[in-house]
Order: sequence, then C-alpha cells, then structure tokens
Amino acid sequence: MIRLHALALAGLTLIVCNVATSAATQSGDDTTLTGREIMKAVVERPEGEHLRREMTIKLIDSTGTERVQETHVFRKRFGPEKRLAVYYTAPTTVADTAFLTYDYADPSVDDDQWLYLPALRKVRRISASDRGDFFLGTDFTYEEIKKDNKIELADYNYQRIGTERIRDVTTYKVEGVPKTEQIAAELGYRRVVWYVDPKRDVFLRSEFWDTNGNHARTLRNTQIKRVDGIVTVLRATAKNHKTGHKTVLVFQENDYESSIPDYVFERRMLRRGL
Amino acid sequence: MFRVAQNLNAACFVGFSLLALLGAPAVAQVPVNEDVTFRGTVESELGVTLRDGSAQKWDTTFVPEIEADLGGGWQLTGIGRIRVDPVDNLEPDQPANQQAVRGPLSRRFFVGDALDAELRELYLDGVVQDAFIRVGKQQIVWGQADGLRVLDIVNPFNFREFILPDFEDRRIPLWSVNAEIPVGDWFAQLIWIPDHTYSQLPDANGTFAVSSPRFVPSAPEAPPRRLILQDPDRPNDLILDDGYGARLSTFKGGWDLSLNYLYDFADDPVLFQHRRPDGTIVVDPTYERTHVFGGSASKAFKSLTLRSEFAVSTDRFFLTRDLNDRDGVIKSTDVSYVAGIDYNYNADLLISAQFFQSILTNHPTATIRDRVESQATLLIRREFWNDTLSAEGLVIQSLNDGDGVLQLDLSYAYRANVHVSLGADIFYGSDAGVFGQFDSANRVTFGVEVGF
Repeated sequence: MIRLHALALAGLTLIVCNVATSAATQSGDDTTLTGREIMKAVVERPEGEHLRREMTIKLIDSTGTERVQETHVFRKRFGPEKRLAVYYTAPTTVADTAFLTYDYADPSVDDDQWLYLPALRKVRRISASDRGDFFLGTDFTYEEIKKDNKIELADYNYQRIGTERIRDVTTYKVEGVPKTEQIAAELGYRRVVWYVDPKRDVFLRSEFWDTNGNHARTLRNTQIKRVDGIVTVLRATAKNHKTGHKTVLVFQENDYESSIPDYVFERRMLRRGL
Repeated sequence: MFRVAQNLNAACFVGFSLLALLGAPAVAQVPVNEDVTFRGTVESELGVTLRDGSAQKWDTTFVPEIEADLGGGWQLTGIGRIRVDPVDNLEPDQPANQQAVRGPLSRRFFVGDALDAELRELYLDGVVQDAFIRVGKQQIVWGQADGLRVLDIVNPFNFREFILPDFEDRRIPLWSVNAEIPVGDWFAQLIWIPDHTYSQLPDANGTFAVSSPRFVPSAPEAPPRRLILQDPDRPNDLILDDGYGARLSTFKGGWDLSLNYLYDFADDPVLFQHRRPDGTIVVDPTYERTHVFGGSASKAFKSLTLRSEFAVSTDRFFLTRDLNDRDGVIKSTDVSYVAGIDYNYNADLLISAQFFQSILTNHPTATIRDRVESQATLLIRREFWNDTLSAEGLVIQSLNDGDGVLQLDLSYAYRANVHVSLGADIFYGSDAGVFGQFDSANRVTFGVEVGF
C-alpha cells in the first residue's frame, strides 16, 4: 500500500511538472527553457501522419521579374521515416518534373532522393549529402523543403540569446551552431538564429550566416494558421542576401485528413505522374 | 524555288507568331473544364551549317497535350506534334522508307514536303488496386545511362538528326500495354508491344544519312559495281511478331536495382547480302528476333551517384568484308554495359562521366566492327541565377576510332514559360566512324520555346 502511494505521488508530481512546463511554454514567458528545449519543442510540433497540399513557388529576381511554378506536394510518415513527393504541374516548361525523398530518422544515414526529368523520361538518383544545396532554383534548401519548418535536432549546439517582438509575438531567439565542421559544410552555414513563436513552436523568422561568416539568407513565415488542428505555415519567403533573389512559397488546400496511397511515394509514380 | 518560297513564308508566319508570344504575359495551362487540361509548347529552332553558313533546318514545332480525367482513377492523355521545316534538308521531300519501318498507326502524315504531323502519344492510365496500367501509344523507358543506349531499347528511334535531339523527341512511341504490379518488395513490369514499328534512318539524301561502312554495305569494286537495296520486310503478324518484355525492380539497401528482359525484333534490320551471277549485290534488309537480358543498379554515395546497366543481346548481326561470306553478315551475341558516375556540387554543377563497352562473343577477323567497341562520355552542366541560365557541354568519344561529338548548349529562361537557347553540335574524326561520318553537318542552333 505504501509502495502504491509512493508511485501515485511520483506520478502526480510528474504530471504536475509536465503541465507546469507546458503551461509555461504556452504562455511564452518561460525564462527557464534552454535553447535546446525550445528547438526540441519545434521539432516535436505535431505535423500529422500525412499531408497533401498545393504549393505555388514564386521566384523573384533582383529586378523584380517573377517566375511562377505550381506543384502538388505529398508528405507521409512510414514509421520513423518521412517521405515527401513534389510534382510540378505548371508552367509547361517544367511540368511533370517530380522530386521524391526518403528522410530517415537516423541522422547519420543519408536520405535517398530521386528526380524525374521529363526530357529524359527517366527517374535519376540524386545525391542527398549536401543538405544545404538550393532546391530546384529556389532560395530554400533541400533540407528546408524536406523538414518543413523543422530541423535535425542533433545538428546544432543551441544557446538562447534573448527575445524579440515580431508581429505582436514575443519570440524566443535561439542561436544554433553546427556541431561539427562536416555538418556546417553539409548545411552551408556556420551560424543560424531562429525566432520561435512560443505558443505555436514554429519559426517566425530565421537568419543564416554562411561558412565565411557572411549574412546569407533570411527566412520568414508570414502566414501561419491551424489546419485540422495542426500548426501550418501558409506563406514562407526566403531572401538570398548575396544574390538579391527571393522565393515565396504559398501553401493552399492543406489537407491532413484525406489518406494518401503509399504508391504516391514510389519511383514508378514519378514516371507516371499525377 | 516557288515551293521553297512558300515554305519560307509559312515558317516566317509561324516564327513571327512565336516571337509575338514572347511579348505576351506568362500564361498558365488552359483548364478546359475541371476534368480536362490543355497545354503545349511551340518551339522554333534554326540550325546553320558551320561549313558554308547555309540553313540546315528551321524546325517550328507545335506540341499540344491534352489530359482528361475520366473518373474512377482513369486518365486519358494525348500528345501530338506538328512540325514545319521549310529548309527540308534533314528529310528532303518525304521519307521513302516510312511504310517499310512503321506500323500503319504509327506513321507521320505529310502535307507537302515541309510539314509533318504525328500522333506522338495517346494512352489510358489507370490504377487497379496498386497496379499501374497504361494502354496505348507510349514511351517505355528502361535503364540509367545518359546519351547511350544499353537498356533503353523498348522504343525504336528516329535518326532524322542522328543522336542530337533529346531522347524524348527521338524515341518513336509504340502502341503497347504496360502494367506495373507490386510483388512483395519488388515491382513487376509486364509489356506487350503489338506495334511493328522500328527505327527510322534518313534517306540517302538526308543531312544525317548513314554512310559509315560499318552500317552500310558498299558496292562491289569489280563491274558491274551495282548494289540494290530492297525495302525491309517488316514483320506484321499479330501476336507472333509482337514484342514482349518484363522488368523486375526494387529498392534495397539504398540501391535501385532492376532485372530486364525483352523478346522483340531488333530495331535495325540485318543487311543480308546476296551476290547475283553478274556480280550485283542485292541487300535484303530483314528484321531478326533477339532476346535481351539485362539489369541496372544505381546508388548515391555522399556527393557521388553511381549508375550502371548491362545487356546481353542474342542473335545480333554485323557486316563482314569477307566477299566469300554466304550472306555478308556474321551472327554474334552482344554484351554491352555502361557505368557512370555523377558528381554534384552545390546543386548547380553536375559533372557526369560514363564508360560504355560493347563486346561481341563471335568475331571472325573479317568483321568490319571491332570485337570490343568502347565509348566514353563527359557531361558538365552548370546552372546560374536560380536556374534561369543553364550551360551544358556533352562529349561522346569513341575510344576505338577516335571520333566523337561535342554538344554545347546555353539555355535562358526569359520568362517562366519562355526559353531561348544557343547551341553547337560538332562532330569530329574519321569519316568511317559512327560520329565522324557527320562532320560536314556541324552546326550552330538558335531556338525559342514557348509553353502555354
């Protein structure tokens, strides 16, 4: 009986602590959270088992000339593994191009990636080691497209460096430094600062400095909404400070409810198209 | 002269219409209704021969594509191509050999000499449980190699411009039934090809007419010095003469693997030769069945990607210079393979190298081609300005004869749906070589492509 009471007390203490931590996080004024804890909450933010949506890619060069591409995006969890497929539908000059990636839970294992090029009608295996490479002409990296406003937690050492107000939200400001030179080379950055909305555990802004210490890019999530109860970025921009080029991603028709057949994430589907 | 002037007028109209489109705002595909989408491209490309500055071609090509959602997971896709070339040097007049090499439903329609129209693809797509079914005129592409054919053998090719255009444009789509069925961790692809269409070479007066002695028998040196080339006897029995193929593919341990088998007529006819009592040689092109067994493997290792494929083709035939040979050809099994490595840097730079070999298991000394033929390729592609400008150089080098081809291309996305390009195609080496035979056709090209 005494043992049962002790267990109940321990359990109650744990629940109370968790509730307290969660409440503090929700309120956005917890000064005890470390940088790593803040980023862990971002990584663990619910994202659903699967998602289908339409993504409009606006590519804007330094003169303001705009190119617009339309895509269908599918994401699905297969156990600990996450798969992402992007199918281009317009304009005609890029239509039918398709990208598929298998994102493995073990960060030491390179992801597997394929690209379907309609002019060849072949699915090409592509290297996934340089995660900081820009995704198909955009100013977002392959890593950012795959992680969808999350990061690989094991990549960085974190430090909480203050707060900053962005659009009526007092954000947690967290600095990340890649743990090794190799990770820095793969990601292409020596330092990152994230501005995290503490109520929704999502970045409102991210600043990147390249391996030479130059301020390289700024990412902004300017429209965020709960869809099917899940925090969803509806509009994201990436500005490349070196080139002046900017990419705007607009996400529409976000659907976490409808199931997605597994074959959407197979290489044969890239050839067949939607 | 009048005909050429008419052709030029038509081309000028199309060309200027295309230029007018350049000034138009970007337009997306046209949704005819919720279930039907219409899109396409208009492309104009001028080729100028380097030797004398004359026009080699001025292709203006309209490629409409329509997709209709039929409901129940079924889709109908149709792709056409209308092409005008007022210069008419690539295929002067109308190709004489079309009926000899193409099935009745896979032929091009000619209006005059300068305009031809072709139903490129028309297929029904569906998913039955987890099996993909595609029925109709289509391209079926096997293999991992770029610019070299080892396993990409299901569809025949049109050699109107030898190997210079994209594979997509060179392949002749075939009426086929194509099913991809999951079997455990593998996918089984089964294909049936009732379309008896084979590769099309330009007539002897075309810019890229084949002249190398390894492909074309020569007239006897002694009188009467006559060589008669008969039309090929194209197979046309349904079922008996159809092509059949299967592929098993999987993804294991990071490797993309496939095993392939095709039982079909080889795309190029065997040039059997018979000597008449008067010394005349009659060439009797005949299509011969071949079994092809092959496979492919590819995997990424950090920044490198390895690609490889091989094929063993039975019952292949090659020309011999032995005048006493009964039919002028020798029969052999051909073992071919290609291995390639891609290196990516910053996603903007691709360096890709390939090594190819074709080995004959039977090679009498009089065989015109070497027992082992080797080629190497090097591709360098660099993207600039967020992929708006792309520069590419590809060299394919024969390691036997020292000849080869260098292809250079600069492409600029002026708008999302408007691309302009500048290119050069340079053949070099011996006239007897696969590539060197075309060195008089070296050219620069200027092109505009508009999508809608």
